Amino acid sequence: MNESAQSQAKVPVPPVRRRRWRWQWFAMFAALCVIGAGWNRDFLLRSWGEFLDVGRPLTEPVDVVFVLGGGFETRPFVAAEVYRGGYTRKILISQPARHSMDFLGGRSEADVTRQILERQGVPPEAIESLPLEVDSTVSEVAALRKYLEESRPARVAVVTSNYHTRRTRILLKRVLGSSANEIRIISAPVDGFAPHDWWQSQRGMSTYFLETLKLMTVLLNLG
Amino acid sequence: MVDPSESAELAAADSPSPPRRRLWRYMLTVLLVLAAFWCGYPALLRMVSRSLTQVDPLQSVKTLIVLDGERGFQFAADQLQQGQAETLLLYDKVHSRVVELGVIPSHLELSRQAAAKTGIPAESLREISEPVDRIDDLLKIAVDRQAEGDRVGLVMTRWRSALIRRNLQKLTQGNESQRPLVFGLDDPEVDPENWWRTRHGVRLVCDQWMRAWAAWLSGDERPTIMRTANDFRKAAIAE
Repeated sequence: MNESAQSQAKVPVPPVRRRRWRWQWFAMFAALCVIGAGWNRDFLLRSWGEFLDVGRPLTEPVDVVFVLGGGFETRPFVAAEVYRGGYTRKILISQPARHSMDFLGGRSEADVTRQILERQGVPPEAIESLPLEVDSTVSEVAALRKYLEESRPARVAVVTSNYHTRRTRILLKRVLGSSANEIRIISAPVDGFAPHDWWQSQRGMSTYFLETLKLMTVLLNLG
Repeated sequence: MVDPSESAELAAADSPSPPRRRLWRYMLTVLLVLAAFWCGYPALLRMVSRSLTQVDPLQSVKTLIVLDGERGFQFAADQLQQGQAETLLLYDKVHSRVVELGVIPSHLELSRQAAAKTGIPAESLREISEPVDRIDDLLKIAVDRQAEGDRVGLVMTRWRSALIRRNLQKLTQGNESQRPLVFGLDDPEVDPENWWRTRHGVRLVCDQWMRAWAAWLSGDERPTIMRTANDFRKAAIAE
């Protein structure tokens, strides 16, 4: 009896059964991961929001503040605060391309941004438009490089929406190389959602999903 | 003459071992999937664009509401002129800080300007007094009007149509007779059959897809919380 049990114990497990066990372990591990992610959902989503936000408020003055296009509801207001606080003397704005479905009464976004800055107390001579028309963050960063090569300001800050700051930093490093480390990035808050609660609103969710997709295309160098 | 049992042994020695054979099988499968994707990706991408588009055929309505841009007003003007619609209902959005600052006109003012520019007669215009915050607030007004016997048509870019239709179905609880009609506008910059060929097209379709996913995953849109001047100051300069 004892001998037969020993001989049975020595019988090797068939490969098919071993493979099935491997899959069962994998499925259990995946299920645990899903349960864990569900349990810590808020923590994970908040962490993702905070991961995307790498901007910081300015601690020292800069020569130029560049306002990225695409968020005139908040970004120019942050740039104007930098100016009013005496932390810069020049604000640079981009010229986003117009699209057929825009509804700004026939005006360009650059025009609107300039007027917001002026109404917020920035004098017209302190505002400069980049001469190139841009249609993406990549083209904005390329336009900034051209400006930096010509004007050579010592200290530069870039203002963009909080969820957009990490992608901007990656693109700045890619286009400007090591000199991008000197560029300060300022996070503009967004109406309706923030890095710590973006998944609680439909607009926040779609914005962060899209940003994640765009970040992936930048990381994979597809954009 | 080779012994048959010997030849079988030789063949077994020459053929790849089971793990290697499995690896080849996986690689072949991956290659076939990639090849199939490469051949069929235009069809797949067209399916994506079709999933975002769900418009109703053009028909006569009593009231039109334009959700998207100046092209929407041109469409409304054409419909009014052809007698396919009687009135155009204008609405206002909750004023943003840029509107409050007087930099851009309110949505209602922009709509009035667009209506005048496209030659829509003033007697065909009606206005909603209360400004709307979320798109669902406007859709609710359209549904209520439809329930009162007013035949309503919503004009929007075709890319938003499936999402709007889904929201309408939610508001009417699936009652199709109470659902306002959805009219889609073509975007001249994006061809639905080849949208992936332009950067703008990719951006637009991805944006609409993400919105559709967000709408599916989350509940109703919450009211917008506006940032204050203090928030902007804190974001700009470390105190």
